[in-house]
Amino acid sequence: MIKRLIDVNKLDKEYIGIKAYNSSILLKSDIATVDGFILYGEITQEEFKTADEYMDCNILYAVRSSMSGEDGSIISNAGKYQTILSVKKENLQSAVFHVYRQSGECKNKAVLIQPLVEAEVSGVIFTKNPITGNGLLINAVLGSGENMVSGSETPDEFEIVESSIKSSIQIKNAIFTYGQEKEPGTEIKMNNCRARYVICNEGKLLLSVHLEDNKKPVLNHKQIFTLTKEANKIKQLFCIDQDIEFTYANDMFYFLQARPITTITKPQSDRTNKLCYYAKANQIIKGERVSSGVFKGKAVNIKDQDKIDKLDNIVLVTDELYPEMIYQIKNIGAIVTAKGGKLSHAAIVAREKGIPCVTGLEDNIIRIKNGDTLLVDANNGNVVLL
Amino acid sequence: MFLHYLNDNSMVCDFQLIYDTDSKPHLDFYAYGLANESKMLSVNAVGEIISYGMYKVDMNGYIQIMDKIDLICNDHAFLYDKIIEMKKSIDYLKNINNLVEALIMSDACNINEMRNCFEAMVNTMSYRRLADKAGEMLSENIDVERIAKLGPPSYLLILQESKERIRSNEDISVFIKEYGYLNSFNIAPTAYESYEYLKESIDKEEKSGQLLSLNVDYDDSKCENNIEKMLYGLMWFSELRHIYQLRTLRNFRWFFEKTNMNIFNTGAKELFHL
Repeated sequence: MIKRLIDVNKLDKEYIGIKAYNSSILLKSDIATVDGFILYGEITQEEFKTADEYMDCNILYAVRSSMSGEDGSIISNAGKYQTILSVKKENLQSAVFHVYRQSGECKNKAVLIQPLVEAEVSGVIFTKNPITGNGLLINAVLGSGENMVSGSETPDEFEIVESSIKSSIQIKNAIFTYGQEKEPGTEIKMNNCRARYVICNEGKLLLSVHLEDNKKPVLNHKQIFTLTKEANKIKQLFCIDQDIEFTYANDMFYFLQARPITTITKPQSDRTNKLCYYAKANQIIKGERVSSGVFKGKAVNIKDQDKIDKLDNIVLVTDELYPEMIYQIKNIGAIVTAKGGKLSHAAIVAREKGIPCVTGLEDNIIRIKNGDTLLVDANNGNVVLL
Repeated sequence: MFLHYLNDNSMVCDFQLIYDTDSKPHLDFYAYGLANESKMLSVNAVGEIISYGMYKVDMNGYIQIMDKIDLICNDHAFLYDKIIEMKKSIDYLKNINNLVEALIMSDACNINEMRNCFEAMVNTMSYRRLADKAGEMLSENIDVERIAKLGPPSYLLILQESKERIRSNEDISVFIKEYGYLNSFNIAPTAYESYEYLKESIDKEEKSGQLLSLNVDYDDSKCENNIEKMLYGLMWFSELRHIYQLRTLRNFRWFFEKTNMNIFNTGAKELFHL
């Protein structure tokens, strides 16, 4: 079946998934979003032919999963299903079937197809800070948000409480994005940051950030307040706090996806006697708390897949966490990563599953060896080596 | 380091992706060093500096360069000759920097001297990848503790030890000229080049100066065989390369400050019209 976003109604929700349904609401409510169409259920060649008419061969597209069970208010299944970016018109069919195959045994399958915005900035805004419960939280990067939501890139973070903004800014050397090919060395401006193309291969672009701009925040205060205002409109539209993916290009914000926030963290009471562990600590490594809880266990590196399957209640240690790791590994007591932000898919899932998670250890992660006994204090963002 | 650009089957290296530094000249040391590799290795590669800190080379040339590096690493006679070249490049770079410093301090330095200095730096940098690869290969069969005993002192250790020896105003002047720049890979000066900051290191009772100019002797006397001697040579080169890379960068800053040029944004193309 095929349907344009503008033609979606309430009866379609069950079949097209919450992602596509919410996108149609955004479109019809005059929120700046990207128009598109949905392929769902059984898809015939006739429907691919219709899709062909909707598409332009000079534009790249995003093919996003919108499966039943995805983007719910209790369980998000964030990162479980596929999104394929930079799809050309002629490759739509293979992209759609790939996303379908990846979804496994899902009750109702659907994909949302939208033109890809050549993003200068991408990010996620939570209308309620999922860690503190107070104010809003924005995570944003230059270029495409793919690496940010997957957890492999640590974003700039902006906590907004009333009219005050607290920022945590990363050094940016590289930008990943999608767009038209350009010669290496070609200069460009991404929002307020100068950059240059390094390589462009089949629509996937890598840029380096000008050395004078690599410590600039990706969003200025005016943009942050505009985002906040629009995000609150979206929250009112759905009558519940929202996790919203956005992108910024040509002086405009586009809101790509909105779903309910599944978990607002509340600090849990420790079952462990935390103070005595701190007193015995060999080292304390400071990171970012992305969920809550405290857990003591043995460190296991993600590369030791054999060990992971055999042990219980492990502390999973990895450079970056992809959500599919959490879904595959059943016996995780806590997670520690070098990279990743509070609003990445992995962080969302860790919160949903009540797994203590500390990210942002960066190079300090090498101080943790396989078999080390760790206390992961997600309430305070600390990893204690015992 | 190198990325494959499918469009014209070339390899691109952008040091702005790799190093977090604040100056174009520093990225240019690396990029022009790569550009000079083919000359150092006597290989025919078609490469170009696309922009500051960014180098592109044709695939054939890239493969030839990598093959030549492998060949040299596996041929100890060839490698030994290259180590002698590396040592000469460091000695030359050291002398050029001494000259440039004297000229800058007497307001007599001009663009030609700085160009000579840049070319000496780039020549040294052209040995960087070979030295790193050969050093890794030779050290594979040597105990880590033995390597630590053989090698020259780390420049960071030299920096800290010399700071601890500051006892007088004289020492501060020597420290700023000879050691302070080792504290950062950025061109902007740090506290270690600030007289006010370093003055706190002097005891209340000022003593006479005791800090000497930086000098790391070439001393392979602890080496027991030719492999260890070659490894020592490579380690010495790498350490001195770091030292004189930072010293050259510092001297460029001094030159820019004297001539009112932007210390961060003046790359080799702007300076030498390359």
